[in-house]
Amino acid sequence: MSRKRTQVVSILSSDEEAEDMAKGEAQRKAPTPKGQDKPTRGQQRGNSRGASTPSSQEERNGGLQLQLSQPKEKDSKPQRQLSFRPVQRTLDSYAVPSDPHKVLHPNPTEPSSAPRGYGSQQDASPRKVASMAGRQAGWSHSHKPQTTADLVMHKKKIQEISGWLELQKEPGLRCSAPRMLVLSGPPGSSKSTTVHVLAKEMGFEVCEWQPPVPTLWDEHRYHLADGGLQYTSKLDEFETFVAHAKLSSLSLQPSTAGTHIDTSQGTSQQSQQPPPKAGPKLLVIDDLPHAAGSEQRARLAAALSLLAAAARSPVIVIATSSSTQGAPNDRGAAWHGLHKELQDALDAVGVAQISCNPITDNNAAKALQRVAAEEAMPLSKEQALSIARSAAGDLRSAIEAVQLLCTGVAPLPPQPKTRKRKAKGIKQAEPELRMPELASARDVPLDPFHAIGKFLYNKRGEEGSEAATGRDEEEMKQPWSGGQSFLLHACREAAPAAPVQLSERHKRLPLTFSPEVVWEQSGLDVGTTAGFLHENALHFMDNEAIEDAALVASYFSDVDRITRHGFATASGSSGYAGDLGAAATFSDGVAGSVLVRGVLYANAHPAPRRWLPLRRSGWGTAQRGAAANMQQLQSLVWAGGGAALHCVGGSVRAIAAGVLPSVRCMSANGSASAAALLPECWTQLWQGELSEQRCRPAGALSVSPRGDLQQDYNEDVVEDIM
Amino acid sequence: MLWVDKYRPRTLDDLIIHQDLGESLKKLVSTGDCPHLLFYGPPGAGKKTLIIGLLREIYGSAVEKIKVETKPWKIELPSRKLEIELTTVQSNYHVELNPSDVGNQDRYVVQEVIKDMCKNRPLELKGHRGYKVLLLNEVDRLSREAQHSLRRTMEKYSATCRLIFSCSNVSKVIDPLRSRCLCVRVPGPTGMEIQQVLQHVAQREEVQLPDALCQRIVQMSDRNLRRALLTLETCRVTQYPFTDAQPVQLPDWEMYIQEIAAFILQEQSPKRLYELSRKLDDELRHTTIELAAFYEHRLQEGQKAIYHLEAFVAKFMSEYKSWSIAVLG
Repeated sequence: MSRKRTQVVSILSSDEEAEDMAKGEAQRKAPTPKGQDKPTRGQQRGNSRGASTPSSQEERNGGLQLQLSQPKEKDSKPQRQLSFRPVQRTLDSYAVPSDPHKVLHPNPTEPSSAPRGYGSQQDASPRKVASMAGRQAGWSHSHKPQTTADLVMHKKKIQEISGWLELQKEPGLRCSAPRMLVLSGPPGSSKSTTVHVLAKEMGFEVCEWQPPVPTLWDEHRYHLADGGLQYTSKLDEFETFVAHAKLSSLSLQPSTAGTHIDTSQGTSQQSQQPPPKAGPKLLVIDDLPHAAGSEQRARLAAALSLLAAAARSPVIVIATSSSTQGAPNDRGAAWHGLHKELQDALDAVGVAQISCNPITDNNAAKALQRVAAEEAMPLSKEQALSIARSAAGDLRSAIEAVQLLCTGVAPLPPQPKTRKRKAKGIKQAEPELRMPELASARDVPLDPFHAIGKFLYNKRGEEGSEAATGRDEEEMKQPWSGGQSFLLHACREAAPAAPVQLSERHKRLPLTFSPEVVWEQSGLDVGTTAGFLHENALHFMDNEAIEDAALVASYFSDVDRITRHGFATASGSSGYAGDLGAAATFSDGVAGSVLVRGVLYANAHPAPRRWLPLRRSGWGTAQRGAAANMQQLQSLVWAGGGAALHCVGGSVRAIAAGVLPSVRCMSANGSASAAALLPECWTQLWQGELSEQRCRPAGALSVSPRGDLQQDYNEDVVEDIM
Repeated sequence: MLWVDKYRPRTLDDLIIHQDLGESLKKLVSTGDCPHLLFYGPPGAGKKTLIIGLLREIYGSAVEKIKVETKPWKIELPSRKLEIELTTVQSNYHVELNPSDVGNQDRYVVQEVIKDMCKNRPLELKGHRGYKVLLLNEVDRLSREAQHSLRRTMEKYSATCRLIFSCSNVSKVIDPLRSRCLCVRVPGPTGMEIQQVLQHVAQREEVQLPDALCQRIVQMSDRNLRRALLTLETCRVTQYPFTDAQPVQLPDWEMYIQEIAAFILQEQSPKRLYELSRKLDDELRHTTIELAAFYEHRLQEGQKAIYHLEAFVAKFMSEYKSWSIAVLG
C-alpha cells in the first residue's frame, strides 16, 4: 500500500474507526480486485500534478494536508476518502472545492482531533491553514457566526427555531407529531447557519445528508473502466439515506457507518460528528435532490414523508425559495421553496414550517461591519448599509461583495495588500474604502404586483414640491447601477431643456417615482402590464371622471397599436438592438413608457383610497372561449364536405356572424333541420368565467349530409358511365 | 338544408344578380387561360357563389365531387419540425382551404399545400386545363409574412396552379398580391336585387311573401344577401302565413350591440335626457362617426380588440357627456 493510503487511513481519528474502515476496505476490495490500482493511479495523478522540484515538497505537503484535513474540519465522512480516492483526486485536480455550504461544523477550535502524523505540521501553522481555507471559501464562510448572539436572523425566528429544537429534545413527543421542520427562506438569509449554531449550542449532534459529488461523464467512464462505480442518481441516494435514517440499527451510529455504507456501494455520504459528543442527533437536509418530473417529485415526496413519519431523530429540511423560479403561474409554489406537490405531501403529514424573511438591511449592515472589523477593514456604516441594500436581503452575497470590495479582485482601485496595510497603519488618514460603482450592486427586482399597484394608486407628491427628480435620480442610480438600460437613458435624455408651459388641465402633481424604472424592475412585458392595468385601472378612477377613462382607454389603444406594429412597420425590423432591459425592442420600450405614463397621467381624479383587489386580465380567458367556439364552428363548417353550410364559403366568421343567429332562432321555433346545424356546445364568458353549454337539442341529429353527397356521387358516376 | 344553400346558383348561367360579372367570367374562361383571381366584396355579396360557378365553368360538373380531408401537414423548417392540422376541401381539380385557421403558422401551410398540389398535376384530358386551382378563403386574415411568401410561390408555380383568393377587406391584402391577380369586385347587392332574389326563392318555396315584409327584410339585411335569405327562412319558421307587421328578427349580436348602446346612453344620461336622443343623432353624429372610423382602423391594426372597443365607448361617453352638459347648461 502506498504511502498516501496510510495517510488517508491515519486521518481517522479513532482506532476503532480505522479498523472499521479497514474492514470496509477489505470488504470492498474483495468483490472488485481491480479497485486496487485506484490508489496508485491517484498517486500518479497526484505526483504529476504536484510540482516535481523537491523544494516544493513542503508546499505540496501543505496543500495535501489542506485537502485532507479540510474534510476533517468539516466532519465530512471519512469513508469518502477511502472509497473515493480517485474521485477526490480528480476533483481536487479540477480545483473544485467541496461545497462550502455543506459544511457542518466549521470548528476551527477543534484541532485536537487533527490527524496523527500531521499533527505537528498543522500545529505549526494552524493559522495559515485556517486563513487559507478562509480565502478559499470566501468570507461568508470563514466569518460564520459561532454563537447565537452573532446570528443575524430576526430574534423571533431564532426563538421559533430553538423552541422547536427544544421540543424535539424531549423524547415524549416522539410519536405524536412528525419530527420534521421545513425551514424556508430566500438564499442568503442564514438558514443553515442558524440551524447549525443553534444545534451546537443546544447540544445536538448534527448529521447532514450530503449529496454525492456529481460525476462528470468522462470521470464516470473512467470509473467504469475501473469497474468501480456505478452511476446512481441523487434521488436514489436520498432514498437510501432515508431508509437508513429510520432504522436505528443502521448507519447513523458512527461506528457502524463505514461498513454499512460500503454495502450500499458507499456512494451515499453522511457526515457525522465523531463520537465525543453524544448528544441527541439532528438530521439536516440542506440540499434536496432536484426533482424535475412529476414522477421524481412523487418519489421525493414519498421519501420525505417517510422520513417525517419514521425518522428517529428530528429532521430539518432547508428549502431555498426564490423569486425567479418557475413560470408566473406556479410562482406561489416556488415562493415557499418546496414544490407544491412536495409541500402538499408534507402538509398532509403535518410537518412544522418556519419561513425566514430576507435579512433586513440594518441587520445585514451590522453583520457586514462585524466581518469588516474582523478583517480589519475600514467599512463605514453608510457603505455597509448601501451594500446591504443592494444585496436585497442576501447576506452571503453582501459579504462577498464586501470581500470583493476589500481584496480588489475586481478590476477596481483598492489593492489588497496596500489597502490592508494602510488600513492597519494609518486608519485615520484614509478611513473610507472607495466604493466601486458597479461591483456590488445587483438588480433588485420588484414584485410585479407591487409595480402594478404603484401605477394604479398613482401616488404623487405634494403641491409645490419640486418634481421628484432628485429622488428619481437616486432611485435610478441605486438599484440599476449594473447597467443603464436604453429606456431609462432615453427618458433622462428626453427631459426638456426649458420647462414647458402647460395649461392648467394638463398639470399634474409630481410623481414620487419614475414610472419607467418601476416598470423595468417589475420585469413584466408590455402585454401583461397592459392587461393588468386595463382590467384594473377603471376602478381606481373617480366615478364621474369619464374624461379620464376615455383618456386612459385611448392610451391603451395607442399602446396596442405600438406593440403590434412598432414604428418600423414597413421594413419589419425593429431597429434598435442594444441593452434594453425589459424593453426587448425599441417599440416595446416606448409602448411600456406610454402605457405606464399614460395610466398615471390620465388618472387625474383618483377614486378615494381604499383597498381594491387586483384582477387578472380577462383577455386570455375570453380568448380561450373564443378559440373553443371557433373549433366547434370549424368542425361544423366542413361537416359533410361543407355541403351543409355551403353558403358561408368555409369562413368561420361568416358562420358566427351571419348564419348562427338565424339558425338559433329557427331551432328555437322548432325547426329540426336548423337545430342540426347548431354547434354541439358553446362556450360562454360570464363574469370572467368560461362555461360550456350544450346547445344542440338532444333529439337533433348531427349534420349528416353524407347521404346526400353519396347520392350526388352516384348520379355523377351514372352520368359518367353513360 | 337551408334555403341559402338550396337556392344557391350552381353555374354562372343561373345567376340572378351579378349577371354581368358572370358573363365576363365566362368570357375569361373561354379564352382558354385564367389568371390568378382575387374576389373581394362585403360578406353576403356572392363571392363564393361566383367562384364555385367559375370552377364549374372551367372543369365541368366533376369539380363538385368534393371530399373533405383533415390531415396533418408535416413541415420541416431549418430549425424545427412543425406539424399542423388543416382541413382542406378537394376535388380532382381544386383545393380549397382557409389558411387563417392555422394562425401564425399560415405561411408554411400555404406554401406546403401549393407545393403538394403542384406535384401531381392533372393530365390534359378531354380539354381539361392543365392546371389546378387553389382556392384561399379569407386572405385578408393571412399574416403579412404569409402574403409575402405567397407572392413568390405564385410566380414559381404559375404554370401548374392558379390561385383564387376571396376576401372582404381588400386593403389588408398586400399590393404585390393584388397586382398579380385580376381583382374582381363583387359589390353587395342592391335592395332591388335582394328583393328580386327573395321573391324568387319565395316563389320556388311556394310561400306568399308580402311586399311590406320583403321591404323590411331587405332593409335590415344591410345589403347582405345571405342574411336576407336566412332572415326570410327564420320568418317562415317563426310565423306563417306572413303578415305585414311581422317582426323581423335581428341577429342576436346586433341586438346585443343595441343593448350596449342603450346601456351607454342610460349610464351617461338620466331619464330626462331621453327625449333628446333624436337630437343626439344630428349633433353628435360627426364626432361619433369620426371616432368610430378611427377606432375601426385601430382594430385592424391592433392585437387585442377590447382595448380599441373600450376606447371608442369611453370616448363616446366622454363626448356625450360634455355635449349633454353643454345642451342642458
